[in-house]
This record gives sequence, structure tokens and C-alpha cells, in this order.
Amino acid sequence: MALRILIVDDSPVMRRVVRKTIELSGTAVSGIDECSNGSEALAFLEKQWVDVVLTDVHMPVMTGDELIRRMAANPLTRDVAIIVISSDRAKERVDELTRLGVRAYLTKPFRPEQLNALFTSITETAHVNVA
Amino acid sequence: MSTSPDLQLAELLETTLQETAFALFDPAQPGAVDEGPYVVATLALTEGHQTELRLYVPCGLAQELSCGVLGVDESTVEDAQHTVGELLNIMAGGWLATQPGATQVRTIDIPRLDTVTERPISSGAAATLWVNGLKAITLEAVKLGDSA
Repeated sequence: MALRILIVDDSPVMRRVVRKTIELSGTAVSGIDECSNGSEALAFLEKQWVDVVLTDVHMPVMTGDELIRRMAANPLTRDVAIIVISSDRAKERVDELTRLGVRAYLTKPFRPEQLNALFTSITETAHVNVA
Repeated sequence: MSTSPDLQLAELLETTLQETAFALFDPAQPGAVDEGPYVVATLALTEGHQTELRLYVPCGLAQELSCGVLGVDESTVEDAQHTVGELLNIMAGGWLATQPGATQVRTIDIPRLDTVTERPISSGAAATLWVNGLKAITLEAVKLGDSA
């Protein structure tokens, strides 16, 4: 199963780093899209199904926390796997986002092998999407 | 025995640049240091009190670091600025992890990016390291006051 992935980060450099790390992970992907904040991502997700959202936490306009809450509350997006990528290592934040259903929390910097292991886990448990 | 803030900043600089940008450090101060202009990234943290982290990187070195981070041979000035901002963001997470109350939710602002011709004398904890033999890079942490 090839994954369709959405990267959400306000830093254009970080979006490129994440894209490159996905490529280096060897994961089969059917497409990678990018948004620069949570609000953009929600608008994108209204139009396009993705299998995985990789999101930063601290972003302007709409934070990653808010994006995750809104995705969890929306039947259209609540089954999308979410991986948080952040420099913030506070245990309370990790626990809070995990309670909201986040699949994994990666702290920067991270390695392709870590992403590959997460994507494999998501692929093994994913339901088949019939568009 | 607790580690001094200056040493914590030095370790943070070294670790982040090695792991993220694959940059190597020269532990000895060289005879010639590359002076400005500098890309400066500034970021505010709330950790019971307000702290501002600032990262000064000579423009030429910022472009080298950007190439290391992105895995490319050439980078633009804009890439270099955003790279310095992202490196500071990573260092901010590392800094908070070493401070009291590290498990609690804190605020990490979005980095502000600028270019300056001179690096002001630090008014807080600071560390300067030499990268690839010549070029100085400075990380400083300045306590601004108690948060409400």
C-alpha cells in the first residue's frame, strides 16, 4: 500500500527536510503534499484524502494542537493517522496529544528509519480507503 | 553537580549542528574568525519566566549549514535564514528539556529572522563554537523577566 502523506509545517526548510527524510525512508508513497499551518491543512483535507499527516506543533494561524483537535472532531478526518514532529519534548504535551489519538510523537532531529518503522505500522493497521 | 548554562548552550549547539547539519567543530579557538554579517534567529520561551534564545551565524556559514540540513550542494539566502530559524527551534526544545520543570507544557514562539552586521555582546548565558575550523557561531539565552 502506497501512502498519501501531508506535511504541515510553517518552516519551508523543515518541510523539505521532512520530504527528503520520507524519500530516504524507502516508504512507498503515492503523493506528498505540503501546508504551512493547521488552517491550510484542514482546507486541504476537505478536498483530498491522505493516509498520514505529519505535523509540527508551533505554527502561526493555527497550531498543530488545534489541527489535531479539529481532525479528531471531524468524521471525515478522524481516522487519518497523525504523526507529530516537534522540537518540544515536554511530557505533558506528548501525553495530551497522545490522548487526542496521535499515532506517534517524533522529536527533531529524527531519522529515516524511525519514519519507516512508523509508516510500516500505519500500513499494517490501515483500513482500505475507497474514494 | 549542575552544569553551567554556558556549558549547556555549548553542548546544545554542538549536538544540534552535528545531528542536523552534519557540521564539525574545532574545539580550539582559531587565529582568524569570520565576522559578520550574521543571520540572527530570535525566539522567546516561557519557562516560568520569559527567556529569549538568539542564534548568530555568519551568512556564509548559514548557507553551508543549509546545504548540510537539506542535503544539497547550493542553497539560497532565504534557505539559509530559515535553516538558522529551524536550528534554533530544535535548540529551544533541547534547552527546555534541561531546565527545571521540563515535563510541563511551555510556550516556544516562532523564530524571528534577521540579518545584522555586528554581534552584540551577550547579556546572558552564551556559548560560541567554531565550525569547520574558522567560523564562529553563537547561541545565547537571555532572561527577560517573570511571565504573568
